[in-house]
Amino acid sequence: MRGDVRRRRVGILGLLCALLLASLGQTAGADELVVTVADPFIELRTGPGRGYPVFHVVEQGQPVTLIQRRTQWVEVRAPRGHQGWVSRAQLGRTLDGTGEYLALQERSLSDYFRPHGEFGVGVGELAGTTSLTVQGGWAFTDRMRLELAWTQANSDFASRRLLDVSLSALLAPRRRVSPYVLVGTGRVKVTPRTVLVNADVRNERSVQAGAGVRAYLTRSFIWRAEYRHYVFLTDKDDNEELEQWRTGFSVLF
Amino acid sequence: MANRIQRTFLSAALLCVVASLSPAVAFADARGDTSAREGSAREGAAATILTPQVERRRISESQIKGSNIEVGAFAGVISIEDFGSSAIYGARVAYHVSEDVFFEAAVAQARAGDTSFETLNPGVELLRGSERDFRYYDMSVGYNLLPGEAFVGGNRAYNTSFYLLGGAGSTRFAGDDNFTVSIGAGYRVILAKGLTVRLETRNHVFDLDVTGRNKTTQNLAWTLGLGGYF
Repeated sequence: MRGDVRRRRVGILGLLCALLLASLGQTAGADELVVTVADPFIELRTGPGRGYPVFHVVEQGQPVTLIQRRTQWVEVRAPRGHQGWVSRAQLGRTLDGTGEYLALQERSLSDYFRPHGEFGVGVGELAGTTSLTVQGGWAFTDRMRLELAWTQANSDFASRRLLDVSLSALLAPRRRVSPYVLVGTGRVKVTPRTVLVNADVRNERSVQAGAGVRAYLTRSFIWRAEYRHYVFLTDKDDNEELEQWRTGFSVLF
Repeated sequence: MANRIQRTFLSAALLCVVASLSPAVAFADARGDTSAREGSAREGAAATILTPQVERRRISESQIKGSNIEVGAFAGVISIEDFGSSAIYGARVAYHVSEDVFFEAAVAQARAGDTSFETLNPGVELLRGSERDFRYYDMSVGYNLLPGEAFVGGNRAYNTSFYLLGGAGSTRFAGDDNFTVSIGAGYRVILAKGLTVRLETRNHVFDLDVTGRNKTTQNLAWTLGLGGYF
């Protein structure tokens, strides 16, 4: 059993390495993107950041080929084969094939109002202990979101892992900051700490309701804070109830 | 005689060069039209040298291939408090949000050795079987503090950055999951084609009660990693 797990892990690691090598071996396709410099010149840096030195300039009227983008920088190839990184701001002052300025659209509030995906992490408090959450979601209208969240909280007595699916509705759609309400369901796995004897691992269903606030910050960033009230449907006479507060950041894509 | 042979060879060589300059020339040549050949050769050569091949089309940002994700694997040594030093290996995925900030998720595992107490008292076992497995996952925020270049010899320079990392996660050790805070720093060297090498040190801090009383443990790891941008 342990051998299987190890073999699988080695397999996954091998696959990652293969993917890495495969991607590095790729060469640029024939479909090249070429723009023309419109400003007196643009600067090429050795790396994608203001801390890397400028090593070349391309003059007005010269064509440059766009290779790849990373954060706010785009790697280009100049006519004589010099390859370097140009900031978005400078690249926005180049002309594309139609003679217009290159359309560089950063993520904006309008993307946030359109259907989009979100992925984020958060920290919080679940039943008196620190909890960590990873969540993903799909905003299928400007008001409704379907979300999947995985939470882990390790207390002195047990480790709780929660997997929740929830549906949330914004109360002030098409606003930068909006409160929301949510309902959801999921499962919880409670693993007691090894120092406790006669305690079993429990795997139960949960239902939850909550409310929160979310705000679009800038570019692709969203901040959120929320409260959830969980009811765990146990085999015992009484259902167990827990509260969770959490806050976190998400990026939209 | 020698002159005639030279002339024949030279004109054949010239013909080859002109023919290779433009496909149109080859076509004209096949028809034996000398004047057309010379004219289009001149145009063809001029077109290759002077006019950039800019297509008449709109270019949007989404057409440019993005490479903000860094994926990699790492291996090194971790000193697990009270349990000696062990080999550690793992994998990580980072998303570069800006030139300064990146988010990173990592998983890794090691196997703890014996405590001094166990070494001195043969037969005593503090942890059994899989309880010695040390596994963690964490999510961190990184900041590229010092971007720059490293020079190897006189003609070779690599982009580098010194970065700081801080995060939180969970460590499974001694049979329990423990909330873990980790802080660290590293040095990233970007080799050709987006291949990265990372030397990193991280301290994983969590509370452990395996020795009978709850204490905060410091588990320092040194790792060397290889990765790439996607």
